[in-house]
Amino acid sequence: MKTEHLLIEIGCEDLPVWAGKHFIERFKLLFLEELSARRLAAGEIMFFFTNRRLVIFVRDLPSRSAAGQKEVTGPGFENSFDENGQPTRAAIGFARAHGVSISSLKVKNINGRKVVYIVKKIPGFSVSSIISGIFASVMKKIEIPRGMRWNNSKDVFYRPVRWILALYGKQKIDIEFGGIKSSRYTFGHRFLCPQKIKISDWKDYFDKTQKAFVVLGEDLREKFILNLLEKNIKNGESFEKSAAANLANLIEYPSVIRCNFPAVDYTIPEEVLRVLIEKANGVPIFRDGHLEKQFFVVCDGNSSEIVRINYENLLRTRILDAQFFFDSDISITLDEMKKKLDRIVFHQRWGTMAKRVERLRLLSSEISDILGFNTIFKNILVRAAELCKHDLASEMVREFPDLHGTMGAIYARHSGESKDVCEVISRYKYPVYSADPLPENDCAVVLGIIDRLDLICGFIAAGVDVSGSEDPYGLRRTASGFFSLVLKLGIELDYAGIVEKILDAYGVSGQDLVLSKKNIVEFLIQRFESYLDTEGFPKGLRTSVISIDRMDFVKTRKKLNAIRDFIIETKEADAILVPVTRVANILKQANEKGIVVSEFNSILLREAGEVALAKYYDRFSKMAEETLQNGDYSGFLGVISELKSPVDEFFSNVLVMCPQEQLKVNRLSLLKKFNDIFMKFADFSFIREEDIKNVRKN
Amino acid sequence: MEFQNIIISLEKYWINKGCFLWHPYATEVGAGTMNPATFFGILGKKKWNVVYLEPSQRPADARYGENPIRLYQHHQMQVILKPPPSDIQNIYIHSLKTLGIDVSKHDLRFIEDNWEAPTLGAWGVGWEVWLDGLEITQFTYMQQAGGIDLDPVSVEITYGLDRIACFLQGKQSVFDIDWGSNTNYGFLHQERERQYSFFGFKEANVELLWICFDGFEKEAKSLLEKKLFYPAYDYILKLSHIFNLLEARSSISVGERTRIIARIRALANLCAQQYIERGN
Repeated sequence: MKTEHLLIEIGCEDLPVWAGKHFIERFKLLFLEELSARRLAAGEIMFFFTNRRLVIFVRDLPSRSAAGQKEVTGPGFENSFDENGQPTRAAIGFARAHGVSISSLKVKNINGRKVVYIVKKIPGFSVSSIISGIFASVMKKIEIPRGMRWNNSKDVFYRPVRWILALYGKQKIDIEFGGIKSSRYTFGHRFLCPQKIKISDWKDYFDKTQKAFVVLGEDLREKFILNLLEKNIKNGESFEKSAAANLANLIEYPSVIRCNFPAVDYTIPEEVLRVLIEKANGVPIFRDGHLEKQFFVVCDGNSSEIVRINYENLLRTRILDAQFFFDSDISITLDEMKKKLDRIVFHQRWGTMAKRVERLRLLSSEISDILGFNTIFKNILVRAAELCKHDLASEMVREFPDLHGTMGAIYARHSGESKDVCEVISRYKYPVYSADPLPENDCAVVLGIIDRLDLICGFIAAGVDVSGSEDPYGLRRTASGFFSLVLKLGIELDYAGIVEKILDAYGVSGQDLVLSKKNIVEFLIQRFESYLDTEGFPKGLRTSVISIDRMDFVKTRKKLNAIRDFIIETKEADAILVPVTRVANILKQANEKGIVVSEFNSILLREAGEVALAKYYDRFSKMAEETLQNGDYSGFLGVISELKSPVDEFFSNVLVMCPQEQLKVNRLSLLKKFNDIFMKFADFSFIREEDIKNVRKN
Repeated sequence: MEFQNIIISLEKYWINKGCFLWHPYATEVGAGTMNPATFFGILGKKKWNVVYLEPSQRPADARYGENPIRLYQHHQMQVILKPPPSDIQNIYIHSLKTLGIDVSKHDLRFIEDNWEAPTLGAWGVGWEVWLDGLEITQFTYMQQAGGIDLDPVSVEITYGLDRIACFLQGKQSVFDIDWGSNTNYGFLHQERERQYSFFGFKEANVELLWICFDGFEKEAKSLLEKKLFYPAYDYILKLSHIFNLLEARSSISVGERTRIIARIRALANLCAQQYIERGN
């Protein structure tokens, strides 16, 4: 079959910075689904985007879809033919409706019922008719947060669509969305090359857009910016790459200017200055960990002298503005600031931020005791909990929300709080993004844990639906940060108890408490599953441990690490784990068959294999329990390893599911004694061979 | 370019693009959106293209005339285009050229920003327009007003004239802006800013404001019962301004805040419905 590349460019008015990735994720899934439903096998599918265009590039798409066939089910057999085997009207009608003769009717069984069916041939279709058919419907299926309408088409998108380019090889494909019909034209950079450009095929497209000052790849733009910055950096200076990367999706053709700080007096801290620079398309420059009195600005296309002066003036205004906020913030006491928390809503049902702070204070004290921390630690934690939200009421944080925590610490220090408390206030909110470094300070970690769990519990108890694909309240991100901190703290603890304490602090009780707790636990376990997934633990492994340790996340992770290390370090891990899973599985099957396992009775032992295994039990259980008590999970797996030969011998020697009922039950009971101990560690019946392979692969 | 010429140039530009010239409203508003020419104009099916100046009062933004760009009253140039032409973004960019801004020599950005007027049940999707980092315009595809889905949608373009003038004249503070005819901005506004700041932050009589709020709400309701939605709307604007003053005076608790917004919005929604029912 002849194949060509398909290129679609959707030209838009300026997209939000998050739109490109959001689009790719959803479009790809829906589009490939539609293609495969139409038996059109695509090669690689690639995406590019800028703030003004979304580009879909499908390599090696056949010019026609494959022909296929499908079965169409008709009436039941009894209704289709009479006693003499003659077709009834129903059968004749069915055949006619599909344009086939009676003789091509076939009969099959569906759930024990005989029905008539035919095999229908589906012809192949041309790629252009398929793409024309599916494009708009895929576009309409994408759920767009804060989507908008802009014209009569009533189509909803991130921002208005203004042109569509669609080519298959050299052939134009007719598609339409948002009232725009596809063409052979694109546009270059808004100011550097604004004219309409005719495109003959995909090569021509990539060539001409590049010449028209459009850098299509996100990573290319990022590299482009980094190169420009490197070129302009002086000896001993540095900048944060992430600050530059954040700017890459707001532009089509980066340019960089080096600006000077404006001549203006200020006392605002460096942390604030830095945010002011970043807010104005800027990249701060550091030397020896401090801000230089110069900064970079990343522009879209133009970097003239006048632009530099304007950015410098802009920073001057921003500094004056921030100075006003800073002065008015430090002119009031922490207590006055606290009073303002009464005016900030946390949640409609749960009231103000002041109430939340009171809850955090209370929980900090209780949880500090549960974790067994000393008085010094506890005092720091409780004081930090009391002060950590104060800055939300400050002018500075209201203007620059990213400075929450940083300002809190600065204002607390200004009013004489201890260095330790300030450190906690400034660090407890991390990680905000998954790449953020975690706080080093245990107190900040604990406060971060309490703060996040309080938020999750409050929102879920208030009935926020967390089952959908979107995450409007950021609860998933919160949960992910929570797990990072819990694991960093590394203390084994059943967090279900903490959840109950928090719900109690919210005043949730009775039936409401039961239901809320259930929902919260479900949410957290599901999120932890996904957290462990991104850490590379295969499904069977995760489930085997989570099903036992549920809300003890640290224990779960330690066990998983132990299993992973065991699999990687032990060549015959499969061989060792197989008998264990075999025991678990045979018991599961027995249970499904309704066999009730009773007390093990040594008198009923018959075969040498079972006698040996029974004898082995005491030694095994003692060693296994000891390792578990010490939290020595690798040790536990070591003990398990030694089980291999007695268990193998047992299975090769003894027929468990034998005809004699009494013996069968007793053999199962013996296995159950072992399994009961396995189950203190993990439910091995969930671990499959491919899980073990996957661990090795990763 | 003088401040007064910026006003005239933009008005002329949009009149040439088919807008009619309207005027600022005769009561305090927080934004050009609140002028009936926008609130009612964007409702219904009829074509509606309008441009007008709107001095807008935001008591909480006041700075006693001491901050270079924060003001109790700032000046907006409001443009509504219903339905919007498909090259509206370029038409807007071109309007900057008439102010003498050669956009090809600057760093012009459209940064995601969705605008909402909660007391009016009005919101839309769009951008802050940045010129070399400075926010000079709010550009919005309005999606709802008075709780009603807009069909067709309108584009609302709101120029921040004070900032644009600073930019054009290279001034560090709005009070240094050359207003025109040998007058400067500070001369006209600085003392007003100082007094209104005192009024908004310290002196506005909270008790009286609450009495007015209840009374005006009653008046709006009874006018709406008689289907007199235009005068009723005036009272809604007064309610909205009182709400802003009470906020600046820190006299509204959290629970109250949500409830008050809901009270005003309920009335605005009624106005919008009655306007549609009148055959618009």
